[in-house]
Amino acid sequence: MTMQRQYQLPNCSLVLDGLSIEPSPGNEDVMSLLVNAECRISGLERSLNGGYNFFAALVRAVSQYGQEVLSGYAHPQVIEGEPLLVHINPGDGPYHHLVVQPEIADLGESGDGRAIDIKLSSVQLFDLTEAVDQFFEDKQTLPELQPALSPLAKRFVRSEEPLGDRAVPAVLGVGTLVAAAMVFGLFPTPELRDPTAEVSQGDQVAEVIPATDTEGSSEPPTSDDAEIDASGDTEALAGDTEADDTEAASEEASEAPDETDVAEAPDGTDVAAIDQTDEATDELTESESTDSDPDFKSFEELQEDGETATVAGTGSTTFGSEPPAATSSFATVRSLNGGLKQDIVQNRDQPRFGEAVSYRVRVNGDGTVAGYEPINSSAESAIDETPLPKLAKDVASDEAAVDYRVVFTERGVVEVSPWWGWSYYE
Amino acid sequence: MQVQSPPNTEPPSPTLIDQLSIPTGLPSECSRRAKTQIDLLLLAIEALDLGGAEAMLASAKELGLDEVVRGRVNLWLLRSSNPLRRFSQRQPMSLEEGKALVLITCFLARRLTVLIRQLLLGYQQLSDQDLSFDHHFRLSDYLARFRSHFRARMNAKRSGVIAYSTDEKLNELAIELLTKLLFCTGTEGAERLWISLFDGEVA
Repeated sequence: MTMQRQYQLPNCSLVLDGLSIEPSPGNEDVMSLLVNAECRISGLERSLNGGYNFFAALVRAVSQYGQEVLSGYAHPQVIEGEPLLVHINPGDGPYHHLVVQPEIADLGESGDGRAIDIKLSSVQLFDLTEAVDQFFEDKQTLPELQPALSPLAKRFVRSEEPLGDRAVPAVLGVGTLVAAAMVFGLFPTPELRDPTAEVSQGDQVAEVIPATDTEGSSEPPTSDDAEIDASGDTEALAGDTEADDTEAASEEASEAPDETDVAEAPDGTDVAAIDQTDEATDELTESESTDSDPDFKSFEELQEDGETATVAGTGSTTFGSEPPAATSSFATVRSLNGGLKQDIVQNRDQPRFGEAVSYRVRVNGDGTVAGYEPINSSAESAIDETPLPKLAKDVASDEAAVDYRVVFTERGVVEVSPWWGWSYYE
Repeated sequence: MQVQSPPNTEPPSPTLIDQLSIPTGLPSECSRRAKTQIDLLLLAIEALDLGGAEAMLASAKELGLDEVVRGRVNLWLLRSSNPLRRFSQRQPMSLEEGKALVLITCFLARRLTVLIRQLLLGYQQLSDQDLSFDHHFRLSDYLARFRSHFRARMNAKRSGVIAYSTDEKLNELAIELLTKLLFCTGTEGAERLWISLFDGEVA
């Protein structure tokens, strides 16, 4: 029994001619064999005709392309491994191209052996899709053809962006790194300077000035006896701590206390610092001090080992660039840190505002301040605004001392931290 | 302009939401792209139909989806899950909620079939003759309204929105959405749109 099915839409119509073979009761009306399929598109002179293969390829391509329009991702329009007989490509603006290979469609006499390219507007394409969907809905016609709508697998989406495009960011990144490395390679390697050497050099310069001040008076130490005593203790302390370090130094340590009465300590400290720095600075400072005051030279000579701390005119102390014996435990250092801060805060008349100044303060194991040293000239001039001169005690110390960095910040806050850093004691 | 649905509209029924299939390998919630896509389509519907926002609520009721889309605030929250939104809610959209919004989109698109076809035909004629959109009053009206909706609601700092900083780019987007809405009006429109939201999301 022959039958015809039509799916009509404004811009497109599908006409299917076919038969029902082996009709069984209940499905006599099912078209199971397609004889001819005709696809008419408005505005097109000729219609597309073809057999089952043409129609199956057409509905698959149209159905898949409909999904492409909705999602923007290209869908495969044939089952893998089969030739591409009918396919649709996106075109410019509102247009799409339906391309049909000549071997599959019956073109009549007008066929010239080339693929047919039909330009479809969006509305025409939709009508074609709708006709195909209505065919899919119709279970009475070629029920074996199914729309088979399914989401596109990841691999199809990934392949949309060519490998070249995806590689661009990585190549750019590596390229930039290489270029930057080459540019930096052109710069000369910076010379390595030992920061500790610079610090001690600065200390010497700061110290020479008070030394010349004392020169003015016939007896340098007379300016402030108490302070000298205090520094003398510091000196002893320094000697002690160093004695701990090396046995050889023990003799010097024992000599140190004898020298405490004497005022010539400043130069001695100089020498101590100089010993630890390079020879060039050594000569420079030595010559300065000796030239300026012959007395001091003699003091220097008295202090043969020269490994002691010094009293400057302002009462501050100068420390060597080495830490005192590092035997203190972390807990002790921490409690001393807190104690020192508390002492300073409790003994100050009022918080000090203005430019931040820092001092290096040496504290004995029992918490007494054994000496302090301004870091720079502004710190030196601001010393009377701090409670440090008050706190510095005349103590003899035979135990390990700890150096702290005390900063009076510009907002009046006192900050205390170990001079050599917390990690030094861990 | 609103028209009656084509004769093949599925009758609203409580099981409508179950008519959309869930293909295997689908993630448990709607992806970023799906949330963006749905919200943009609804935005295009609002640009086509001034009462679009109210129509969405009404159609949710009509389609028996008020269990899923519970009123105005819930609808707003769902649409705000679009990551491009100015006040994006960063909340997940379940498959059920996604389905409901897809059904509403297609339902409204079907009512606007005639207008959508007119605008697309107009666009085709204008581009054939190389004329600007201003020559088609209804089309330029739609485009202008879409642009203002988009700019008012999307976060201009997102890279996804910066891509549409010019009028031309927004017009392209509006036409693209119009074409998508046309495909939503078909017999299988809802199923097609629903499936297309997961392109590239399954293994």
